[in-house]
Amino acid sequence: MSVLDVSELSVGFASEQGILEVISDLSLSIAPGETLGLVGESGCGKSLTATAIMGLLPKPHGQILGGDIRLLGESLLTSTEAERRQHRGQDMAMVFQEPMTALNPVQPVGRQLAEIYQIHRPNWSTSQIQSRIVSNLKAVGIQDPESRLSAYPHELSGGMRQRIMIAMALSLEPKLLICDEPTTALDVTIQAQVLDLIRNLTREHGTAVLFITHDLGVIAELADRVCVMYGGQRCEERDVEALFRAPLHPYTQGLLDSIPRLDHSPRTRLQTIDGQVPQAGQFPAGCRFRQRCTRASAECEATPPFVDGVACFHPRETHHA
Amino acid sequence: MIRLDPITRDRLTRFQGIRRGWWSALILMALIAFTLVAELFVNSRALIVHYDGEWYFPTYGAVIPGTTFGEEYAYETNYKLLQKRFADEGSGNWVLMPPVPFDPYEINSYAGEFPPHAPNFDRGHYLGTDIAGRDVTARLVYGFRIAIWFSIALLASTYVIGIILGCLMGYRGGWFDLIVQRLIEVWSNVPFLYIIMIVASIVTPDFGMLVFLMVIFGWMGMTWYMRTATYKEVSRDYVMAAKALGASDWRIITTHILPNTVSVIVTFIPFSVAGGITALTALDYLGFGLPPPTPSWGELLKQGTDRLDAAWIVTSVVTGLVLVLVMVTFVGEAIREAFDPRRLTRYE
Repeated sequence: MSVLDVSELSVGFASEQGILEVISDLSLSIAPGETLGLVGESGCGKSLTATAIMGLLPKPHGQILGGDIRLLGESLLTSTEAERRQHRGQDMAMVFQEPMTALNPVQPVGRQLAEIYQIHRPNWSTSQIQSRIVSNLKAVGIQDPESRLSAYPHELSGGMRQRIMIAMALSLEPKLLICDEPTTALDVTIQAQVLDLIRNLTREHGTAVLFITHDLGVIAELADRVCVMYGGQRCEERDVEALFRAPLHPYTQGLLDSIPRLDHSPRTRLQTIDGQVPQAGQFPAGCRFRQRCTRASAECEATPPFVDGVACFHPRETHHA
Repeated sequence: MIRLDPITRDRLTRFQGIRRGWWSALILMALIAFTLVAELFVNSRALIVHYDGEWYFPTYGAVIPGTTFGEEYAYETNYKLLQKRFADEGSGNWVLMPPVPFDPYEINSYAGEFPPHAPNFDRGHYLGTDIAGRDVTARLVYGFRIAIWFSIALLASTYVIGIILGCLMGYRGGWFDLIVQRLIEVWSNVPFLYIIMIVASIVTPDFGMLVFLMVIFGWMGMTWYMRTATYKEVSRDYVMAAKALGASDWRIITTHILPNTVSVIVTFIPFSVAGGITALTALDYLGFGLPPPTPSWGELLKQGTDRLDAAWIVTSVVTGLVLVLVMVTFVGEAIREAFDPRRLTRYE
């Protein structure tokens, strides 16, 4: 049984022009121990997918319009808020993009690390919690954890803060870990360390990971499967190796082509995808990518079905180095 | 022991560095503490009476009748006369009076003179008496005590309402916020002074009543600020992160949002205190405040401006008022400066 099962999820935002659908018919599933990479440009609905799964859509504007989200077989949309609170932190946890703002600036990190235990393990003693926190911090590679507990977020480095966020998210060994661009705010050298850390800790406990990023390099390193989103829809979802070797969807191909590569000769013009992502609500009917697509035809005015890992009427294997 | 976070510690250090604000804060604290034991310094009751080998401490406690000390009357001992009698007798009995041996309600009359009596150090009227013959020093001290505690009570109640309601508005948002906002706008337009006049013409307002009335019409300001501060905090990532851990709304408000809005609350305190003092003084001046003979700065100010020939009344009360308000303002200014986010930003 998969840990997370999102089926035909649609999410909308209430606006003055009515409800704007920003995620349409998105389906995902992640098996235990598996890492699914969710890729796409900014504004394609990746982060919103994460907030929808966590049940933290901004109220009152964000609404789930249809579909279902199941965690360990149980629907999160029909459960009560109290039940969802029980799941959060315990069965699913999240690591945020910006560890500085995701930590409360006026509390020492030790107290913030203790919070999850105070919420979900109310009968644990302070010393029990303390020793767990120390071992959690050791697990994320923080030297001398006891002395770090009394530090405030701004006294720590960015990498250290993100390690603390990871320790916090993994405190109760959740079945599902959602990482929302956890390395974007970090230096490249720290990025690699943090990615290693996420990989090792989740492999160790068989945690399912939903890894959101726009950085294809990170995906190649970490994910088992990749789901590419465009305009709130899934356009391609395949094994990481197959996808990187031979992308099928024209958008995925465009994304891979636009990465600078070391084997390019110097001063090669970087490939780009022509046009811009339309604003939510202004997508063309049918295939949302068709206006920017070189392969578009009259056929594309209908919504392409998602078959064999790709949603396109003319998928073509383009071998990619 | 509460451990202060480094930002708060920095702010405190900076506050201490602003000399006049820091000293004003110290002096005001001392004055407020002094009002708690004002009876020991300004009182018609003696501090210590030594009579026939017995020790008496009449300051606090029940009335001691004159008969206890061999006087002929059974009402409360007049310690000033007792002091004179013991001195005349030279029998080893003695009375120690406070530095200002007058009660704020006590009417002092001197043969052949009409009040107000000018300042007279021999009689102990350091600032003279008012038009009823009551000692101005005593009335200033006790008037200050009422004004400052009135201010503090007002501040505490409006802040409790403002913080709770403002937090709820900012946190819940939506319809609740919208409705309370409109309520506040409507309520803010009720003419406060008319209401006070109407109420004062029906019942005589006492301390609690007056605080209640002022709270009813004064809770909106803090609510407004707290609403904005909460809105700002709610949209920050750490609130989202706390929710992602499964924290309840109550927990998020109390452990995450409130500690982060403290600077808003603290910055407003001195201005609220000054506002409270001036409000009470103004109401008393107009005669809608606490009923006479309650010692009050507003009432003294009224007397003083009516009797400018007795310049000591208006001089002392205006000096007192100006000093206190200036000190409160200095504190406010220093706090504002110490908490100025532009000087100590922790965002990256």
